This record gives sequence, structure tokens and C-alpha cells, in this order.
Amino acid sequence: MKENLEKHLPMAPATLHILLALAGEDMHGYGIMQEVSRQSEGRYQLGPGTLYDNLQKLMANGMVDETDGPAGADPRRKYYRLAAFGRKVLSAEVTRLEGVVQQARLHLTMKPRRS
Amino acid sequence: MMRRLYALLIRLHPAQFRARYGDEMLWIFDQTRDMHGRRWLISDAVVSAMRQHVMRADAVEEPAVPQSADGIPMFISVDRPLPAAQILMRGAGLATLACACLLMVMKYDVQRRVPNFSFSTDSMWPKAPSMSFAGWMRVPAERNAQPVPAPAKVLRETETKLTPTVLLQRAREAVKLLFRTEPVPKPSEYAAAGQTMRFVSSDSLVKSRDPWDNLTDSLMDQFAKHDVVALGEWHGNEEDAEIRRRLILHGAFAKKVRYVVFECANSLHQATLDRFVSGAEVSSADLQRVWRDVTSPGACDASMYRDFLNEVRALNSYQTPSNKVRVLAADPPINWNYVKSREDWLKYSSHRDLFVADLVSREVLSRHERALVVVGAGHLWQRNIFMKEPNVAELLKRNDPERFYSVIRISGPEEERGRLNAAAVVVRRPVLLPMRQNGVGALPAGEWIGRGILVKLFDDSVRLRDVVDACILTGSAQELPLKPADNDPLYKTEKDRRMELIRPRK
Repeated sequence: MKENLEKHLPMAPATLHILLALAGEDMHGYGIMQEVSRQSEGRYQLGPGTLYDNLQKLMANGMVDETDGPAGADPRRKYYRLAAFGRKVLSAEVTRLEGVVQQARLHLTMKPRRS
Repeated sequence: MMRRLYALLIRLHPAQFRARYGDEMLWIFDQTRDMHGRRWLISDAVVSAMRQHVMRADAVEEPAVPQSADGIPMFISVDRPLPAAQILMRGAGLATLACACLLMVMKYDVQRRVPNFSFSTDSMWPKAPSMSFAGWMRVPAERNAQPVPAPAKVLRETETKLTPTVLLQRAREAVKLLFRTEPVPKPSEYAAAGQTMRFVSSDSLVKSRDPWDNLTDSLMDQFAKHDVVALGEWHGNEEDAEIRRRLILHGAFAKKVRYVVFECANSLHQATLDRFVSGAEVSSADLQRVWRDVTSPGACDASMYRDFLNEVRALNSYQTPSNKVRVLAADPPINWNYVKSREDWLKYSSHRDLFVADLVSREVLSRHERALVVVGAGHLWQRNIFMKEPNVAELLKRNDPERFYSVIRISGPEEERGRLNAAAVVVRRPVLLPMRQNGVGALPAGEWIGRGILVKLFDDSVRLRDVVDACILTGSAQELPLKPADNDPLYKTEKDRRMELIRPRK
């Protein structure tokens, strides 16, 4: 399974943002776009084409599943849920990013060497 | 409108993707078009469609095999009646690319080798210049009257109807030329002027880039800043001839420059010149009059002038009508049959600069066209104290100096060329040196211009930058041997008569 996880790392920004958006709750496509925008404070915008292209890929890889919406939801909208495998891959990516951030902080706080 | 475009873009996605997400995408478009901007959504859909076809071509899911009620799998046919959309798109892309490459190769080859492609129309040339210059208005009109065919009628001779047979023949020629390997002969290797001429362009452009290309590129760049670029020459100098020959063969010349104003052509024979450079057949006798009848007898006898006209004719043979180059005869319309004295001759020869300037103003600048002017270098030297009347450069720079750019070639004796090279600070030659930006411009003009001329041309304080806008430094010897002149005995007799007529009386 470890090999399967690493195959998907590092993640493209769009993939990471979609998985992060779905980590909290099941959402439809437009909801994912709004959540990505909210999480990134408007700095990252997903277009519908990019969104569904990535969703198609994530579902093919087993990281996202299509699901029924919550009670009372518009039946015409498709809802998406983070699958267990997707959650593992997301955790692995977050761990990897933590390492990156740690290294970045370490190097940025060091005094520059004299040439 | 934008919604329809977006819906169309969704339709460009693979059918499976479209069926699954198309409605959702359109709904999101409706929800967000005022928020994100429609162009952004359109571009996102374009990228998405391309990505689906290029990167997700393998993601097509095959339909699940249904099972019968007793659990035994059934077989279905997964063959499609048509190839998949992405396969068709890839094929279309490859076919387009292949066609584009083939057309580029054909265009490259045809433009440089095929001489017989003619697209002449009646409107190819503007009206021939009218001789309104005051200098020869004093000459009775009948003296200059000479029956010349109307340009439109002449041009019809070169028209070719594009019938299926002609098209087939041209296609065969193009294919034949594509695969030919023998070298293309130079125009100078062709028969003497006046014979039935079927010219091809020089093979210089077919070869790889050489140092001369830098020079011609620089000269062509000047046409972006100036309407008229004038090349001053020493009459008969081969290097000057080579510079202008290479310039007109530059790939952009015919596209940018409409006229060549050519001093070595008597304007009385403008109609003959038009016929010749447009590809019509012209008799040897008629054509020779163009350069033999100039006001300075024998000045244009070297074969390079005939070769230059051949080059223009060859260039025009593969240009579209709008790109054809017209040669304007820039020598006054002297008719030697009526010149009986030096005074008759002076009516024309003393106003040569004014005639050229008038021609350029009338035919080029007033029409907002571009021209290459080929005249003797002396017509371009500004601040020349020997000349009493303003020359071509001074006349044309009076009204709008930025539209005119004068260029001459400079060189020097072997022992002094080191000074020139040190001032130029350039490695590659030949090179165009703008006088305002190069050390050569600060050199005394009198030391580098007109060395062989016995009279003083410039004050000691005059620098090269005061005289011309740019110089061409080729790095070769000062003067190369002149090409052999026209040795026709009959013409020599007539030339002697003319020389005798114009000789100053003591």
C-alpha cells in the first residue's frame, strides 16, 4: 500500500485542494470550488473544467467516490466524498509538506554563509 | 452568446466526460460567470477539453459486462462504429502538421527557385511617372515623344489564366523543383540582355546564412524607420553591386519595399523598364537603351546594371501583384537624337539631383510607399563644397529628414584600413555602421571619401557623420576592378559622338 501512496505524491495543487475541501464533508462540484476558494483565501481558483477533470482522475484512482447528497439536497447535483484511500494519500501529502516546511524554516532562519 | 460558446466547448469534451459532468459544468458556469469572468471560464473549458483528449485518452471506461440472472457473465461488443474522438483529433492534428510542413517546404522552394509563377493583373503598377519637372519643360514635347505601349496593355501579355491544365503544370513544376539537386545558375550566367530571358533568382538564399545576411538584415531594419534608403555606389564597383543584389534578394524586401529608384536607367524608357521587370519579353535593342542612353555616356555600361534589372525581374516572377517591385528610372529623360550641343545636354545633366528628388517625392513619399534608391555616392554626400547645387540627400532631407536614410560603402588603402577597423570596433564584416553611433562617424570625411577625386570635396572640419547616415564596412580593398564595359562597336561610336558633344569648349 505504501508504494501505492507514494505513486500519488507529490500532489498537484488542484488535487490537493480538492481533497482538502472534501476532507470536511461531502460536497457537490460548485461547493468544492467555493470551499477551495475559501481555504486559500481567494488565492487559488478552480474552474469547472479543471475541477471535473481532476475529480474524474481521483475517482479513477479510488480517492474520491460519488455519493448521494444529504437529505433535502438538489437531486440533480452529484455529490463527492473523500474515500479512505484518498484520506491516506492526503495524510501522506500533508506529512510530506510538513517536512518541506520544516526544512524551509530551518534554512531560512540560518545565517547566510560567507562567500 | 458566451453561454453558447461554453456549451460548445463542453461538447468538445469526450462523450463520456460530457455525459457525466456536462450539465454540472454548465450549471457552475451559470452560477459563477459574474464572479470569475466569462473569459476565464471559457479558457478553463478549452484547457480542460485539450487535457481530456491528450492526457486522459486512456481513461475511457469500458462498459461493465452485464451478468445474466443465473450469474453467468454475458459478452458484449465493445467495438465502436467510428474511431474514438481523441484518435480522430490526434489524426487531424498530425495531418495538419504534415500539410503545414509540406506547404512550408513548397513555399520556400517555390519562392527561391520557381521563376515562372506570374500573378500579373492590370492594376499591378501604378501610373508611370509623369514628366512634370520644370527642367525639361523647356524642351519641346515632341522631342521626347516616343510611342510606348500603354502599361495596362503590356501587362496583359503576362497574364495567365489559371485553368486546370495550367494548375496541373505548375504543380508538376513545383514537385519537380522540390526534388531537383543541380545548382541554380546565377543571373550573371544568363545570356546577354535582350535575349528571351527566363530568369531564376540567385542561389544565395538557398544556402545557409552567411555574414552578408547580417548586413542585409541591418539594411532592411532601416526600412522600418525610414521610407527611403539610398545606397550610394561607385559606378561599376562590384562590391556595391553585390550589396544591392543581396539586399533585393532579402526575404522581406519585396514585402516591404515597393520601388527601386535606379539612376542607371533613362526615364524616357520607363515603359520598357516596366515591361521588362514585370516579366514581359523585351528586345535586346530596346532594353539596352535603358542604361546606354543615360545622361553620363558610358557610366552604366558595366554588366552589373543589366544583371541588377535581371534580378528584379526574377524577384518579381514569384511575387504576388501587391509585392512586385517597380524600378523607377531616375535619370532625366534625355533623348540623344535631339541633343546637338553641350547646352542641350546641360538642360538635363545639370538637374539630375533635382530629378531624382522630385521622382522620389512624387512617386514614393507622396504615396506613403518605401523605396530603395540606387545612385552614385556623390548624389548622397552632404556638405560637399565642390557641388554648387543641393544633391539628392540634401533635397530629400530638407522637408522630412527622418524619411530618408543615406548609406555609402567606405574602404581605404591596405595600409590605412587598420585605422578604419580600430574606429569601427566591429569583428564581423560586412557591417552597417550608423554614423551617429559609431567611432567611424568621427573620422574626417575628406580622408575617406573621394580619395581619387582631385578636387577638395569637404572642409577639414566635416566628419563622416555630417556627410551620410551610415557606412558599410566590408573590409576589402578600396576599389575592386571594374567589370568590363559594353564593347559593342556601334555603341562605342555613338558614345564617342556623345562625349564629343558634351565636352566643354575652350
